[in-house]
Amino acid sequence: MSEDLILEIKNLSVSFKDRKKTINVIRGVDLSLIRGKTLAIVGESGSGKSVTVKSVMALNTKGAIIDSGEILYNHKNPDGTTETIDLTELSAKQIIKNINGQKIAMVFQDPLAILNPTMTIGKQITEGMRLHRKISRKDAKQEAIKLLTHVGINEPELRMKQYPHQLSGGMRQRVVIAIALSCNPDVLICDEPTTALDVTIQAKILELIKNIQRERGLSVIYITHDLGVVASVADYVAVMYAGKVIEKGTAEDVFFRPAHPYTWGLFLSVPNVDKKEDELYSIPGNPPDLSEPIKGDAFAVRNENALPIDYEEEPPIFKLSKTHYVASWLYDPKQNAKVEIPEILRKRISDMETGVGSWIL
Amino acid sequence: MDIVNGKQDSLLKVEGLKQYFGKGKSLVKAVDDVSFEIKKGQIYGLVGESGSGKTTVGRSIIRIYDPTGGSIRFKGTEITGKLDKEKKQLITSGIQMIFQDPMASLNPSKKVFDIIAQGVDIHHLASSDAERKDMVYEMMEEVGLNPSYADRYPRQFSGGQRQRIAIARTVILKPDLIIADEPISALDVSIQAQIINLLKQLQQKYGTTILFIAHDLSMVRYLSDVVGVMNHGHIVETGDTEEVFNNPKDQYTIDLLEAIPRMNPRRTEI
Ligand SMILES: Nc1ncnc2c1ncn2[C@@H]1O[C@H](COP(=O)(O)OP(=O)(O)OP(=O)(O)O)[C@@H](O)[C@H]1O
Ligand SMILES: Nc1ncnc2c1ncn2[C@@H]1O[C@H](COP(=O)(O)OP(=O)(O)OP(=O)(O)O)[C@@H](O)[C@H]1O
Ligand SMILES: [Mg+2]
Ligand SMILES: [Mg+2]
Repeated sequence: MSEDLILEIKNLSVSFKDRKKTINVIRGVDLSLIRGKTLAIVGESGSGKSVTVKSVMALNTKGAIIDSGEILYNHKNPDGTTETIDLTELSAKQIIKNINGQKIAMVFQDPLAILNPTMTIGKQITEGMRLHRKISRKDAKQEAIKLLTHVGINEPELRMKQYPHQLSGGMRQRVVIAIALSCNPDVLICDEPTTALDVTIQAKILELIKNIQRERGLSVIYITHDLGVVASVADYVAVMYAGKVIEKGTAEDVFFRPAHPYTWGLFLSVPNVDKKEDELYSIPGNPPDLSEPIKGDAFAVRNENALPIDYEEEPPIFKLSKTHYVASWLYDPKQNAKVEIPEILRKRISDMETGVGSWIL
Repeated sequence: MDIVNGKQDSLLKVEGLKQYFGKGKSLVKAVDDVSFEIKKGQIYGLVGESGSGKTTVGRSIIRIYDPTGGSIRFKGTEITGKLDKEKKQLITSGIQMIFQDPMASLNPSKKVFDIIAQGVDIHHLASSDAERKDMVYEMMEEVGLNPSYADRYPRQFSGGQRQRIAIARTVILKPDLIIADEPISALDVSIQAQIINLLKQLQQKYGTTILFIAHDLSMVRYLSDVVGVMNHGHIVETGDTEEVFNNPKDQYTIDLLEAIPRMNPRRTEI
């Protein structure tokens, strides 16, 4: 492939040892990020989105074991040459020293867990800048105030002197975004970056990141449950279920031609507020327990259209187009299965295509 | 049952609530003269700008803070000012809050089972060990957590799974008033739907009253009977949900509704 990939996750498997049991949390994930583009990862809560991206930065909690796979970071040097680093071969220390912040920066899902409760906001933003970029205290402070303003925080001077608990949930989230942006990274990984933000500030943050992307060719991975956000920022979308990527493609592939029954269920769960339904649709059943071996397709038991082979054998990836891939037996020519997108979903998609529909409101 | 439009009892009445932090140059008027009322069995959606004071309103009601001014009446009893034993009891047995930062509110050294059972034990809600177990397992199923995870610790869960632990341990107590602060923002849409259905069931089955703080306006519209919109410590608009969504009056409300990202890759351009 001639595409300019900045990050390639290849056949990644991660497990946790829990006393006697082994929990296979990531079961062979393949994902790549094109330089300067945006990839959104969506999927079931607990499907492994956070663990996947934390593996990139060797940030998983103790007990996480990378069973297989590589994570290649293709760094472009100022002289134009490219250098490939397998991040799984670096120690956590090396990553913190050489990668974290300046090359790849991450915004975590739980801002309280990242912010130091005993350190002022100002100190926490300027620390990395001063360490990595060797700038003076005064310049770092100026820049921190500018960054806080960019992420929509009023009275930045006051906030710099405050501690995390004195800020609202959404302010803390924006502080974490400001820290991630403070060292001008090549790759920005955002795990649920806007869940605690109201939609006006959310739009502002997404716009800020888009602008940086235009100016500096920043490459971005978003993990988010908000499909409206995905639709507005993503070039590519990957859908995860039970430790695997079960569908991936361009945003148009996934929104207009969703192929996996799990993706259908996910889209069907978005409330249609024009009609007041008595009950919202949600996918029946629970995700599998990953400490038990999984036979066949992990989604089969929740899929009313499951084929006999779904209970027997794990589906490989089928290629639907140059950009669109799906892991489901439905697309195996040998199965001769009829692919039928649920009627309501088909209607919503055609409304979207003609431009009138937006599903929400 | 007409729980929405009837002239039923007021469960919570907040009048002129003020909650200030700090003093002098660093004074923050987090909540400044906020008034609203929730009738018994109603779901009140509180939305608004990040930092506008929504969480503070919730925390003042359960008296994590000492309100700077104003009045809060719960079931007809004033609960601002000095709390005697009776008032404390009224608050702890009648009101439960689901907190915005789930990890910070879960004891890391306790197993999930015990976290969910904690309130059951405190309020003596189970008459036997078997009943206690059943209650916890059933609750785990209802929030979409595999009961086989009961022996794990909070750090072994994903963000959304932790959120559901926090929901389970609150809902299991069936309090009169639930204050749910961003209870669904960390969840995928299918599980969001499951939790929203669960909250609605609680309202319908047990007449539970809910103060629902959220950013997702489509879910707020779906779930709430009444909404209030906050900006800079004030409620700038409040009223019947459909009325506010169809006919917003305040400029901030209008901006908010317009900023909702549309789920259509062809229509949205940031
Ligand atoms: N330290 C750990 N020990 C054991 N299991 C873990 C640990 N950390 C995560 N897991 C499990 O790994 C799975 C994937 O977790 P992950 O945090 O990646 O999910 P996620 O897709 O980010 O979900 P969410 O949308 O809820 O944040 C979950 O089932 C979780 O229970
Ligand atoms: N303990 C505290 N000490 C000082 N200031 C505080 C404290 N708690 C909240 N504040 C301030 O009060 C204001 C309102 O915060 P609050 O957490 O109520 O906002 P919110 O509406 O819940 O926002 P979000 O949607 O971001 O969670 C903010 O300016 C915040 O910094
Ligand atoms: Mg996560
Ligand atoms: Mg809040």
